[in-house]
Amino acid sequence: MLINKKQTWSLPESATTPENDYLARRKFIKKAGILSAGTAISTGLAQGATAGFPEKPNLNKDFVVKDRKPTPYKWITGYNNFYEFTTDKYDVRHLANKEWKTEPWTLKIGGHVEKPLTLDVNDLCKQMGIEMRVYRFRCVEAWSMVVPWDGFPLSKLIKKVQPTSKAKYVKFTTFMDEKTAPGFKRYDYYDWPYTEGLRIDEANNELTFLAVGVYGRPIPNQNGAPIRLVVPWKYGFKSIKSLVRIDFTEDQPKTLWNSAGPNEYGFYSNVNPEVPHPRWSQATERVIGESALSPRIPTLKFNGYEEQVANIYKGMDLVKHF
Amino acid sequence: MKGFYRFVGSRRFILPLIIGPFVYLAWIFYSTQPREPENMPEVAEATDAEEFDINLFTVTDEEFNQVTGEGKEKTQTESVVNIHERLTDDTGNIAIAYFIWVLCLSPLKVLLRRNKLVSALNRHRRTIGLACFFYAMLHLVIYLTNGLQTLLDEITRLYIAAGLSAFAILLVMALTSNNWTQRRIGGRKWKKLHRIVYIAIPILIYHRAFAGKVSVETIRETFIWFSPMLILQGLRIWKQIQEQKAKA
Repeated sequence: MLINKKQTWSLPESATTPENDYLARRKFIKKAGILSAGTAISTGLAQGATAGFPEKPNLNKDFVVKDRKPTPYKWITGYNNFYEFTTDKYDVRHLANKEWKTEPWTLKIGGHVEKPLTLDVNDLCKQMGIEMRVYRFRCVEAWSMVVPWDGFPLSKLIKKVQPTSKAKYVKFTTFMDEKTAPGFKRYDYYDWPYTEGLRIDEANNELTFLAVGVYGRPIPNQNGAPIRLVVPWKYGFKSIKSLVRIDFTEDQPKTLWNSAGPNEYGFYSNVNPEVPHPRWSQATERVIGESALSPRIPTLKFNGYEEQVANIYKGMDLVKHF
Repeated sequence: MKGFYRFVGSRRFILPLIIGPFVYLAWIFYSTQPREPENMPEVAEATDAEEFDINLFTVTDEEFNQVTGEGKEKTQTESVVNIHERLTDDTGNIAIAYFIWVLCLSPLKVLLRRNKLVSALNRHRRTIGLACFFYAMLHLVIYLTNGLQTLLDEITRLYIAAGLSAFAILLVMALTSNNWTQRRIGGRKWKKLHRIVYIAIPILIYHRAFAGKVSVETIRETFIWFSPMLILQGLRIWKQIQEQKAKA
């Protein structure tokens, strides 16, 4: 399957964040971090400000959640599921920023493709261009956020590597470093490293996104630095963090949660209020940041993206293929 | 030393231990109100405007450093993001802690008959039991705020059903835990009735172990929590068997 048609959502190169700005920004933020640690030199700051993040990063207005407010940054970055570090959602932030280095970072794209790629994530951003989208994020634990991501659609990358006709699925693999992340040893009953998978048509959907930033800043470690998948119509665990490999495969790839609980976490894991988790209801969700007394809101089919994705699953029994 | 035991056996000792967790929960609840982010414009309005204010979707470098920094930068820790989840977990855990505590006391009394500390603590068995019921009730009420739909969806789940039946047992025990009913029912019958608490042990272990997403973790945790009580109960049974053998 070759994907050469011009997509309606695709932005002209000129519309995306200039690469140099993006890269300079990553460096600047590092510098700023060191400065704030004690050696504040005013000239350094002034220099950084001009080389910093562009004042107006490009927002792709076709992909903005309009009926809900974005979740404040401190909660997006302070409440994370990242079992490579800990199962405590509040503690991930500290553990992920301790010893774990996410720069430089190499991403390898291979499998059934014409042009396999191995490159640094900064170079990848340079080639792909960065745009901002605001997506709903629904965790399988029945809570939800609204997150402004920065990145590029996965289909853009797929077009570049040219999958062969054998490529029916895409397998995603995250990092595995027992020295910097304590979870691998502590939760050794999981099938590490974390892997996830999509069908090729799901991967090519206009919504499927590779994020390298949150709220116009590089993606924090706890949110899956330096590059992660975002599949907004599926439960959050499908949106695998900190990618090191993307492989195009012929067979349906094994995924961590599906191996851990085949009757609880399906391969598709589309957000569906009509299909409850074996242990809890998925009909409603709790909005992160609201009062303990505010009622849950109803969960939308495909997390509100039915229009964009329903045709992928035409004729499929979504209860059987949950 | 006598004064110490008298203190341990008194209300001055037990009441703070019962009320403390409630103060903590109330503090979490009030310190996190109101949660609605202020000064947030409506997104639809903002994005439809010609001059779109990107600040709505961007943060400053300072904010970025605050959430990715270590040590000094660690200050802005969020201890509660999902308040509902935090209150549910905490009330449940507190109730179970009292449950385990009270069920440790009776075997301790059998095992260490002349220990003064154990006898002093045993004076609080009713108070601790009622505290367990109180926090279990809070736990249930907070769960019920998820709405009727959620309850109907989940009532068939075994761990929810387990939680509800454990609550029913605690309710029966709490309602009969006063001098008047105790006298009316009669000591021996009352004791017999209150043996239903032993049914609640496996039910609560199941409820605690399978309530979360992380099954292996929570199962491990649950058994660590319950093990002191289970060991003491086991020892008590063993001792009673030994004594019966000696009699025979």
